[in-house]
Amino acid sequence: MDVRRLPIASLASVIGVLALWEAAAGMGLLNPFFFPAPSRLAATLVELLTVGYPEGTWIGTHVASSLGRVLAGFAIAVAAGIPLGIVIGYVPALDAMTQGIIAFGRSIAAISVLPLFIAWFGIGELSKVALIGLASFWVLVTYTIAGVKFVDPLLLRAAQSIDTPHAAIFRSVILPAALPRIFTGLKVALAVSFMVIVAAEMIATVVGLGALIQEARTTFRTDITISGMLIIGLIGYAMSRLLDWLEAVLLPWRAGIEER
Amino acid sequence: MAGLARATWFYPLASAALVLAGWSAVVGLGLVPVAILPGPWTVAAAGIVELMAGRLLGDLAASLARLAGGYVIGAAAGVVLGLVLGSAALARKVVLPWIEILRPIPPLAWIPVALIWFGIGEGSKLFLIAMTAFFPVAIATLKGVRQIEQVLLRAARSLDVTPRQMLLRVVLPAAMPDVVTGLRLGWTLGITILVGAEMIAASSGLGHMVMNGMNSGRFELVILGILLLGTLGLTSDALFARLTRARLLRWHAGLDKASG
Repeated sequence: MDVRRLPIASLASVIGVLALWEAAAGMGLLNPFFFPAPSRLAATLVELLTVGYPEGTWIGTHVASSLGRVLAGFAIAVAAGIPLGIVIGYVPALDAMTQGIIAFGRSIAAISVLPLFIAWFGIGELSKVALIGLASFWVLVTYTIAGVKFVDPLLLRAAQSIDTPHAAIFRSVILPAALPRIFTGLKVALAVSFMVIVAAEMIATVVGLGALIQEARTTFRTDITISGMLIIGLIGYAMSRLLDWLEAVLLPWRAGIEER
Repeated sequence: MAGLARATWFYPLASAALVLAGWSAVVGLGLVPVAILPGPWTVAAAGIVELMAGRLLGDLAASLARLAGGYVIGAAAGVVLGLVLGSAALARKVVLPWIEILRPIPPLAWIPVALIWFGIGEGSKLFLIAMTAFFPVAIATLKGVRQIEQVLLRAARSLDVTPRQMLLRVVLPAAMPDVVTGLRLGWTLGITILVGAEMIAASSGLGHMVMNGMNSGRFELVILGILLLGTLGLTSDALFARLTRARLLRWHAGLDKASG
């Protein structure tokens, strides 16, 4: 959806719903505990930005700790998953051997592994970072294997027919052809990571966006839960736009390839 | 050996055996404390005990009932809204902005709000799973309807079909490949959300079993739960692919296995 040419009807819809919601809350038709008014949510956003919640913990601290965990785990998964995926994609026997394991690994809901990781790595940062690493690892491996495996055979044969050395084929043919899929993997993995960290923080921390909205619930601050949720959505949106932009800059030859 | 290697069951079985052997060796040689990584035999024994006690099937049934109930509600709503939005421009303008605002919020981040709105009973789980399935299904259906070739629609109109026939015999079948992609994504995501919700707030289900295992220090239950959830994800996805290809996509015979 292109915001620049947003039709009148869309604007009217957003403003209209917000106005109705505000009015209904003002007239007492909506229980403020369940549905805080938009004006209340806006005030809460200011509160999160200034006073913070729990008091003294500025929203930036929550955002930074969630993103820090995601990035650390993500970096581990990139370092392990992409090289491994390239090797597996390149060697058919390895691919055949690992297919079952990878399919199973991907099917496991990462969040279910959290208790095990807490026992192994402690309740601190390491267990969350490892969880993100695990969740993105399976995604990255899968997309990297697919990228390397499904290089257009015509490109390969063309390169081979002019006696290109192995290393050069890899660098100039396979890698560029595989990168778009790998990049899609990065995008999917980041979305998954963000989802997993929010859930992990609800279970086992006091700082972080997931902890924020869960703590707010237990202290009956629905306004903070909802505002926090909107902030989470905003960050998720910003991250995916950032990756889209990076992709356009880094992989210009991808232009024209149908999205997923 | 070569003939053996070509059999489809050989590699998955060999790799599973390798993983089991590695796991057994690590535990058997005492490389990690048994308390936090029980061996495969301990997990299997726990599985049998839980099965005999009836708890295993009870948890499985609770999880499946939530998943199925929420999924049916969410997917049905998603298909209906997708069809409406796909065929009415005004509806698109009015509703799409709200979908775009809500969609980037990861489904797991809805857990606290769901608990506030629907309590810790079944209602919150049904809501969460329904909402998780709703977005991908609605968006995929919308995309499918928008991409129907105009020729098909014009041909149908020139034959004076009733609106009902148009919907059931032309629009829905033509959009079906996209709808199925959305349905499958919604199901996979639904399992993740189910686990998260059951770990955070439930007194039954496989997610609760995992959490319970952690709280009582019985890590064989945690691992059992993880493996069962992975198996549930893997088999249901395979079943899904097979069913949809046989039933819903018969007329798209030329299509490849899609996201398969």
